[in-house]
Amino acid sequence: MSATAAPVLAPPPAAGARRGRRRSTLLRDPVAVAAGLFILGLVAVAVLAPWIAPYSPSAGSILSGNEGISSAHWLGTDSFGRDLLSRLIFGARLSLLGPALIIAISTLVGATLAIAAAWIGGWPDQVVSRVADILFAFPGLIFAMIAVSMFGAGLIAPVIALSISYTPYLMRVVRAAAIQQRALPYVSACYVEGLPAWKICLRHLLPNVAPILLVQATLSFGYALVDLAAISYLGLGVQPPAAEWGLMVSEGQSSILAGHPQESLAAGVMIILTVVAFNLLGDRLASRQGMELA
Amino acid sequence: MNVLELDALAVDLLVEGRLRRVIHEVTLNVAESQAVGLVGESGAGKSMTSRAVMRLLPAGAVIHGDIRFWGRSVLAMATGQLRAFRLRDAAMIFQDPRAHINPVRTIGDFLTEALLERGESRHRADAIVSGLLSAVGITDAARRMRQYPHELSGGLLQRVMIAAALAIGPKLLLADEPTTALDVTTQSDVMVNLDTQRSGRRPPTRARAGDAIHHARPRARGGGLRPDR
Repeated sequence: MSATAAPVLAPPPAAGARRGRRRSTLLRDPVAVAAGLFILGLVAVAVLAPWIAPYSPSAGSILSGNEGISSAHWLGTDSFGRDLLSRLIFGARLSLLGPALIIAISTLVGATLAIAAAWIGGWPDQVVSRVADILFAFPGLIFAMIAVSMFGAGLIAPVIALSISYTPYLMRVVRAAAIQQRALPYVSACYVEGLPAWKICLRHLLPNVAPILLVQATLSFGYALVDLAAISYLGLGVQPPAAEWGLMVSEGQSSILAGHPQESLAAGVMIILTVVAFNLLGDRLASRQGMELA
Repeated sequence: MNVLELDALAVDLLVEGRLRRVIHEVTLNVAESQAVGLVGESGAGKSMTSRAVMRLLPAGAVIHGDIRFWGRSVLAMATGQLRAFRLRDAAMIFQDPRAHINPVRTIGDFLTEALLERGESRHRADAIVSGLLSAVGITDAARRMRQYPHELSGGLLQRVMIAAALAIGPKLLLADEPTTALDVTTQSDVMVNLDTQRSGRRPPTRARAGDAIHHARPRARGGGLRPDR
């Protein structure tokens, strides 16, 4: 080889390499740590709601309605006299469960379709990608409204509709990464070992696209939470007297003009904080992967 | 009967949408416990020949002639047979170990995967693999198996790759420049190692490409390969 030969290009480092080092840099990032702790705290609050909420979320007397902040009711009460803090705490359950279901379903379906499409290629890949393009054209909220008008209001119909409309977002990102990974030499080394295709996909491709999957799922969680809250706000999601943040914003609306903004305000602030936490965490995870966010 | 027979093997690859012949009529036989070296300049088709034997050619490649493993045509194998052939009979050592080992899984996972796929128990697979690691000169096998590829040097990783190829006890070992990534002293170590493996135990038969040919007692057969670029 002559001295002027072009430098050998190193193969692109597969996503997720050096994970030990990267994990520690994430833990040294105060924003990521704060967002992560906030989310963990929320999950803990949702799980432990019956033990930490000072009151039942549905108990209250209309005589003590719309009370302000006091030592008995830290955030005051709503128009039915129910303790707002307790309703916020119990509301975390439904408000987080919905997006969690959406993300779980769309990640599972999206990643499976994406890896299968990337692996098989050809017309199956074309069919999956074109269907995804069509789904992109449908706004998730409208899709959810159609589902509600067909199957009735509640948690299930909007969750299924939004799962379908979030699937293409996860699919597109994972498919691109999987196509890239597929061409890397370690996959042909797997062939040589005599592994069947599904094992190569599950054990080798999936761990290598997992970081990208995680970023997309984290970011989508925030969007899904806003979408579900919007559906509840419109009265198409979970129904009263259930405690749910989107529903609380809408229920508190009538009290705002009477000078009692606390219910809408408290629920709205919780929605904002949660979405911001998820977006910040997703953003930090993404920059750790060197991903550019649109 | 020969372990490997290449019968007038010719390979056409898709280059800019057109088929171009990159390997012209390679005919060679590899007998049991024999080492055959392929010699040729860069781009002559050494790697392509060995990849053709494993049916690892890029999409759109057209193969002429025949490749026979113990009389059985590799080209005619169905998917299941081909997988069994790769799993049990043939192994390959790649040129660039860093690119050919999945970066997110441990060395131990990489080494035991094929053995587990063959139905060995986890315990036995671990034992076989740590034995092989010391055979290729890696002393602290237990620790190495818990490490990730990026924690190992290129030389160590190449030895890991060799151990992985030997793990299944292959009847045919294709080594595609197994020592290119190594420094000179390690190169000879590795070649001596491969030779020991060939003449010791159940001898794997080897066809290999590359610079370190003089270490074995090869029948260099470069005649059928013509550079064509």
